[in-house]
Amino acid sequence: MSEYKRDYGDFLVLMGLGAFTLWYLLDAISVSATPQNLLLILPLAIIVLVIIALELILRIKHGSLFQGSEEEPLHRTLPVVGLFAAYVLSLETLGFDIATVIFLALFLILKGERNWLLLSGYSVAFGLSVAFFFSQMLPYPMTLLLLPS
Amino acid sequence: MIDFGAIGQGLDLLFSSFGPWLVVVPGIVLGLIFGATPGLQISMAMAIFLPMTMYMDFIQAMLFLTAIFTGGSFGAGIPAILMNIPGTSSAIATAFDGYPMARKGQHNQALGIALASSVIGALMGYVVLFFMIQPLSYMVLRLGPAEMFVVILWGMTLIASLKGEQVLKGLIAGFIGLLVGTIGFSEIGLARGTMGQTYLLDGVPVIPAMMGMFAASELFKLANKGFIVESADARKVKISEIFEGCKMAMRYPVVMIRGGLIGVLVGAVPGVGSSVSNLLSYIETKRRDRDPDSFGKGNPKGVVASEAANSSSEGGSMATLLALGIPGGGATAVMLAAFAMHNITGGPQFIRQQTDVVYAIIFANFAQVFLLVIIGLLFIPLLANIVKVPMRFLIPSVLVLAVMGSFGLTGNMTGPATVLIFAVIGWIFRHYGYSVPAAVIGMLLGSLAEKSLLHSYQISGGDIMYVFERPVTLAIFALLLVSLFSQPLMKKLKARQEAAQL
Repeated sequence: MSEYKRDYGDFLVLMGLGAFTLWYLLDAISVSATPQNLLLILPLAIIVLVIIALELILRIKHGSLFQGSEEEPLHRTLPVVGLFAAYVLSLETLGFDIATVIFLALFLILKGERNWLLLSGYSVAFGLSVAFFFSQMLPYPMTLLLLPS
Repeated sequence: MIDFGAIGQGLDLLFSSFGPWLVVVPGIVLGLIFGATPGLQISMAMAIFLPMTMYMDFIQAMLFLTAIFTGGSFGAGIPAILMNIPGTSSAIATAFDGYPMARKGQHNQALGIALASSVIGALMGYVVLFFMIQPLSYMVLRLGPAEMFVVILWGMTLIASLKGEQVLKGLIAGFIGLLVGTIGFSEIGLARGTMGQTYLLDGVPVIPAMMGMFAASELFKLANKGFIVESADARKVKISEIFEGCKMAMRYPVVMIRGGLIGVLVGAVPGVGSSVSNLLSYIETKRRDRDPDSFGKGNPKGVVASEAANSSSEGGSMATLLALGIPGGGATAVMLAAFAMHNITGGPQFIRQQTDVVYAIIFANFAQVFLLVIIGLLFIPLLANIVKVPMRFLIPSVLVLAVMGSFGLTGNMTGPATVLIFAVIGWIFRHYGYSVPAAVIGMLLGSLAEKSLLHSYQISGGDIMYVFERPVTLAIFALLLVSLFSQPLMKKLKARQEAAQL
């Protein structure tokens, strides 16, 4: 089972959060080292770094530095996350209407929907109606390929 | 204690036009749908529909959001009773006795009990809020920036330490959230952490970030669940039996009042809210009952205790939001964002200066509670079917709404990009046990915390002794330390006692 598997992910996340904190602190110092600028950031960043160090020490002590999460493995959800990322990144190129229809259809295929009539009907109907609704409601121009903007 | 002039103005605000009421019914329906769908949270519904409130006036926006809150509190009990799947964490205890009742063929009565208890609980919460809001405002007006800062830290600590086992991770998430909340221009006009990007000068777009962290990341987690309610039997819902259940709930007034009071008190503590109040109320009811063994086997008192508490928490958390400007949990965090969207800052000044608006919100909620009875009765049969919608249809549809809504908020691709980035961060946080609510509330409060600290620094001239001259600051700080260290200390003591017994 995954819960006992060696997993570097949690360790890397902790390191990533530490790196972000350190970077943000250094960036704030480079802007201005006055107390007014660092009043919250400096002590908070130090506290975060100390807690991260404490968490690491506790894990080393308990021998659980690379212990995996009890949740479902990340890679099983990765295709969905990838698809969502592709959807967001393609909005400007494909337009909100076409990108949404394709995203809905691909998601349904990915999750095992094989009723092609339902799949295409739902993707087109829901995708186009949502894109149309928002394009009419919002005061900003929305990139649309098929629908009138 | 009660400002009758403001009450009159509040009623005027509500009844001078039909506008504010137009959003109440859709809000309750949305809350019911999101609450009744396992995996979808009330805060998620509020975050997704938050962009729509941009086109409403402040009263209308608050009515819409509180209607979602009210509807969701009851909606969450429906799948808990019918399928043993609590719609949200606030209905966990509802499932303890609600589902056994359903197994015994009393699902209609259980739904009726849940509806009546939710309605009375929510009503109690707002009655308490009505009477307490003025004294509370006098009390909180005495709080200076130093006290506000410590209150924020205390709230963050409570929220972060909710996941008992992962307190350190909760604190990391909350404090990094606070740091992220300070990105962009500071009070003294210095831009930090922008990486040269102009769109970060105003800070991270908090609402799209919240949509990503709350909604999208949770949906990623559910993506492999397939058909979450596959095993649900086609159960028939009878209105007459639901009415019978409503009457049954009235047979336990003590349980209901106790649950309501626990809900209000617990709901007012930042970070605790309805997720904890329903469990506390259930445990207390079971502990005091003459027949505690009957709980968990379909005792109607269990459903009453849980539902009264989770619904009355709404009033309690609204008190904290209105009086201190601090969200108690996910749902009130979204409301705080709505405050910001309408250029309104919650807190002592808001209650003092806009008492009429506060009373209007309270009165509207009294009405919402009665509307919930009607809408709840109409929608129960329908909602029982909605929870059977396959997740593969539900997830992408909600994601699309989140993306479009975030575009509507920013007017450019910054919104959808922020949803994507924070959805991934939220997904990783959830996976590795970091508190997502703590991170989100931290982001919301980051700039306020910095502002409070800066004002204290300016008032004191940088003299640390200033803190020691403020007993309220010291008292809140002591509470912070108690809430931070009491849990591990109690655990150690318990372990020691157990070891000694062996």
